[in-house]
Amino acid sequence: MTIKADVIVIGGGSTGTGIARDLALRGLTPLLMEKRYLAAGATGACHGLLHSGCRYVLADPHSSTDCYTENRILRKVAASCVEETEGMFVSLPEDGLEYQRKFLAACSQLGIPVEELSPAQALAFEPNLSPEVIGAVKTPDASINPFTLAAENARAAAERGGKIMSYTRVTGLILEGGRVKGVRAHDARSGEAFEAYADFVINAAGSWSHQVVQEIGLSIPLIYSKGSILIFSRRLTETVLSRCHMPADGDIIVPSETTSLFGTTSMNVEELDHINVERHEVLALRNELVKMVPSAKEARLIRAYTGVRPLFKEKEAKDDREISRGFVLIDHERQDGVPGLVTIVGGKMATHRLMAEKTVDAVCQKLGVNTLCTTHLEPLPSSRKHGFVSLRERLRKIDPGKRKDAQKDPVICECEFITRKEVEEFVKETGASDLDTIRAQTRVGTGPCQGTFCAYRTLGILAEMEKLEDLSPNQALRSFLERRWRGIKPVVGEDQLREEQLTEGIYAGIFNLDQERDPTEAITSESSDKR
Amino acid sequence: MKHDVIVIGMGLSGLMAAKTAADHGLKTMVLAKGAGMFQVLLGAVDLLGYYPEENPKMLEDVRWGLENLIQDHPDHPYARVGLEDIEKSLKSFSELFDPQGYHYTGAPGRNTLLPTGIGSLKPSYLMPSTMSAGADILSEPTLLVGFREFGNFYAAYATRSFRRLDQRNGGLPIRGESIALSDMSVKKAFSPAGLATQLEEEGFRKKLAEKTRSMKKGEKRVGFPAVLGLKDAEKVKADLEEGIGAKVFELPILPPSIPGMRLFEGFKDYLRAKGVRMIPGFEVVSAIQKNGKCQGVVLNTPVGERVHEADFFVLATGGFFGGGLRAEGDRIVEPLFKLPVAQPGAKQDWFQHEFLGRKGHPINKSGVRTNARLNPLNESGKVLVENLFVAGRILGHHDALREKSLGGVDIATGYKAVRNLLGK
Repeated sequence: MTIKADVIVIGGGSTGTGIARDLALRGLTPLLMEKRYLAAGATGACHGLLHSGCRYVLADPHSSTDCYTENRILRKVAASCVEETEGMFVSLPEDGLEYQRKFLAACSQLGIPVEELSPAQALAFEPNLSPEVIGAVKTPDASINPFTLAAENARAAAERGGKIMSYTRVTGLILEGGRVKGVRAHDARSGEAFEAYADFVINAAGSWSHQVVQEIGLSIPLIYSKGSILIFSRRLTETVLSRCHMPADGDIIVPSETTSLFGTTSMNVEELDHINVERHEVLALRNELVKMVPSAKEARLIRAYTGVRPLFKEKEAKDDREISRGFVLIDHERQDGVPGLVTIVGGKMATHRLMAEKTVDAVCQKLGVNTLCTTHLEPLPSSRKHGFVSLRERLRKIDPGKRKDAQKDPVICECEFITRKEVEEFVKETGASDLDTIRAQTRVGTGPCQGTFCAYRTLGILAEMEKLEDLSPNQALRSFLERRWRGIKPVVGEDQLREEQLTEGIYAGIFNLDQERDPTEAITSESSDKR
Repeated sequence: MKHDVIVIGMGLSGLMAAKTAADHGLKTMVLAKGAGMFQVLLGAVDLLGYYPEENPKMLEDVRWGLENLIQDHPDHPYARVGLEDIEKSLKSFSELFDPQGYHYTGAPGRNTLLPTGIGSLKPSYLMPSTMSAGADILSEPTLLVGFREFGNFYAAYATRSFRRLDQRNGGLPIRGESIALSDMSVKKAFSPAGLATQLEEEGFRKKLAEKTRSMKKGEKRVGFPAVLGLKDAEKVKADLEEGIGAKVFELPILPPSIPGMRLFEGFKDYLRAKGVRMIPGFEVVSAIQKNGKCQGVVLNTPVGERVHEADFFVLATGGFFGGGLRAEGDRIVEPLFKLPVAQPGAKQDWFQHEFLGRKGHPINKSGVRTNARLNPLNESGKVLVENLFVAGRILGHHDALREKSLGGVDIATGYKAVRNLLGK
């Protein structure tokens, strides 16, 4: 099999999907390949903060300005993915007020609109904040869903003829006469190998971008920085709270859909594919959070996840926080004498659109295309129709008293209020038939029960729709539960222990899934899922 | 008013202890905050499905497995009970249900492979007669029926899994159908209990049987999710069989478990008739102990704390799910009597890397230490409370979920705890 496209994009994170959308809006046909599902890497592992830029006002003013500009753009074009929670930088007694003074001055100099609040005002704005707060600054931060963002970017590209291939692993680059002409790839599930050709290849594989170019003798100097995040079973705060001090471990909590995400840590790692959260990280993080949000002490943790930030190694830096979190566009023609290929690496989800714009500008120039970027003007497909769907609206939607079709359309995920019809429609619209994509996009399996009920139900619905193809449903179910478990294990406390016993009771006790093995079954060695 | 025995816990082990005590004419009281895990999980009663632990093999000959287990693992609850009393306890259990027209059946000394709602097979020992026609599902064409509005069982899913079981012979002759209940009922939602009570209505049963009959293509057996009535399940089954013209069986499905609720109701009726006082809904918060004996327990009620006294006590409060055991940081505690708990080390050792691996999680074996008479012991082997007997999951030293002894251990130890306090 051979496929042709104008431009091949490697990687289905926010950067890769953003590039695919930008290319498509400029009339080029992108072909995007992602080895797992969309946003399965660093994008899905972030804490879902739409940066206001305030975090970097002192350390990296340039990044800060980019963040703020992009924040304003994304609130418009990606309205359906952004919950306008606003944010607050809070100072606790141990932080003092010196940082806050400098912080306020820097924000004002960069033109980021912030507002100083008294402790009483801060507590009125966010009642769950520690009463020991000594100072606070309201900031234009927001919460963003990275999974829907990536999917909406991909959808925008597909609307204009782009092709998005999930579970497609790029195995090598095709060189002809010294120029990159395409890629070799295979279907990660069927194992079928194929080649794809294009006028240009964009490497947006994030932490894996070095692996992509390594085979043709090129190198991307990266430092892998592991960051771990805790997920609580409910929203501990309604606004984004950050500690007003130098960036450190455990300094931000973001309300995200039904949950709160708290992080993060920063630790350099060598390996990419088998990283897990350690229990000591969980304990240390929770201790930090309790200082800022005291009710977190009793709150129920449902999961912890970790991701790897690909940081570009420009010079010898002591601490990875000193390495630029800005992005780098590498023109391999200029740097290595290999035309037809660029690598875009680093950056943040908040600036993904800008990264895509700069990348596609460079590629268009090489291809002699003169169309201008419009991604800052054109809303994402779902944002054309509606804004962010709040929890309250979702709850109202499933209320059996108000729902005409409640009888025919049962709720299949009680944690996240998802009905059978929603899953069916998602499958019909996207053609997705794997639990991971369905989880990432609909939130099935991400609530307090972590898929105990809804994973079986989703597979049941897929079976009825005849979408399982050759898949053994029990193998898919077990593989899903195993990957959920990787993130549950580090946080198993009292409450989640009962949940664990229930899940194990059901699948080992009632269903014998621990003994039941498909003859063809292979044990999965993939990393844990993010959320 | 002083009782002879107070049982704490209304799970299967507590109820079995209460039955044994009542059968011996003891004035018995049962206190519990809830109804136990079996209403969530239990369908059939598992005795011992796999042995030995290190290299688990599915057991056909259960007696052989039990004999070896008892010999090799003297701390296992079954070793505390002994083969003879295990068998007596199961007999006592079945005898409770026979007069109620709900029969637990099985092959003496042997396991039966029962089909489940995810299309797997599980070795069980005693099964309600509503499930027994599902045994040996490999042998003849079978139709599985689910309900479109009911999310705890999907016939299409189970069918796909069952077909894979016998791929060499072209897959099993099993077919799945989904029936839309909204066409035959005005009910707003279809919960397991709601479905079960509807099936107790003759008119609804008839409609379901007719619809199923029209979908049947010569299959000799029809499997439904286990919701065939809370009461009169055998009558529901018989009527469906007549209306469909095929054997009918129930498949265990996602919780809550209707067969588990039937089991609870059966015990409740029996114990009430025997004059046993049952007070569900309130928590026993502490025990009054003096000179190595328990004198009474304190029940927390809305009108204040109430002390209940007895000569003997049975502790059957379950494991982590029931609240009999609790994790406090790196320690596992028994919150009521503060009994020492045998546990794996620090938290990182409690669980395996693989969630549903063949190796069970070490935490599942944690439990109270006892002597052969099921009295709780301290670390140096001394009896802590001489008139207290421990039964059920809280005993630890076994992994019911991996060895498949869910129900069996509870029945055997609940029975034995009371036999021990009687000195029998």
